[in-house]
Amino acid sequence: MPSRKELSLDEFQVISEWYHSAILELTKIRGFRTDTRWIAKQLDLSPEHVNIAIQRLLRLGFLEMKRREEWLDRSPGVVVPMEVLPEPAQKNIYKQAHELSHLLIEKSPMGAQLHGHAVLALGREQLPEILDLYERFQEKLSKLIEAHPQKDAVYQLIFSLCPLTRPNEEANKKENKEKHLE
Amino acid sequence: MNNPVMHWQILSKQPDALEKFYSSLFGWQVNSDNPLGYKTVKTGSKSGIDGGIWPIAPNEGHSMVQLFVQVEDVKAYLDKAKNLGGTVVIPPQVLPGGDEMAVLVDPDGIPFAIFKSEKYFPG
Repeated sequence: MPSRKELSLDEFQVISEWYHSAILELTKIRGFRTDTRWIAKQLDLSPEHVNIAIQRLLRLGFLEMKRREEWLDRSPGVVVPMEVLPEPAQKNIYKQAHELSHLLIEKSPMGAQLHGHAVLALGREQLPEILDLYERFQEKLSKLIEAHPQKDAVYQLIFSLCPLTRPNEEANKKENKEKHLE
Repeated sequence: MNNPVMHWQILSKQPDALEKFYSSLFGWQVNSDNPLGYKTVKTGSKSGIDGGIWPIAPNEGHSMVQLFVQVEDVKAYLDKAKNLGGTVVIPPQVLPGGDEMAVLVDPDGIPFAIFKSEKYFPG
């Protein structure tokens, strides 16, 4: 597990507010314009919001205004591992991502969206393995996306696996007792 | 080349309110019709210099005024400033209007910008 490190206010804002990543991803799409009014329109934000976000990205070196009409994403793949954040901050970030999804589902037709949903019985000790599987999937997905020469939209992807049931303490106790007797 | 201060910039948590305040107080003309939506401020006077208003987040330090110093080579002056004890806040960037700009902090902690402009400023 990564050790806790002091996050700067800029770093914290960048990982906790979705639009910083969205601005960086937007620089990669066809027809991107180095115009904060255009960016604001694409993301349904005010130009002021966008300008404040751009300043943070510039200060952190995550965005480069290379030429008049070319801005580059210079951010490292994962800005900060989530594990360095306290639990309430982590929960807040994921809740915000889901809240944004609620809005996005309403905003575009179903044909423009992809969703997966399942309810599964599983063993809690499988969680690290499942996370590993998801990370490998994300890696493959990134490669697939990177290979496409004509990106024309920015999407949000969320992966969440949360327990629907309370921890089954009685079953655990019984199991432990049986193990003890053996 | 001398390095004149060519521009001032108010970093504000309430840019719209300040636009209204200064234009009402002094009759300054504020225009944000440029790619960054930058509020350029024209005093309308032949003496003195013009400026601009730029937003900062409510939780990001104090509102303040920054000076913009014109240089012929942004990178060279950035290195010179670093050697003299300045620190870089924003490395050189090419703004959509074509000006090149970097933001530094002087040894007393005061931020300022250096810029190179073919025309003059900004956006």
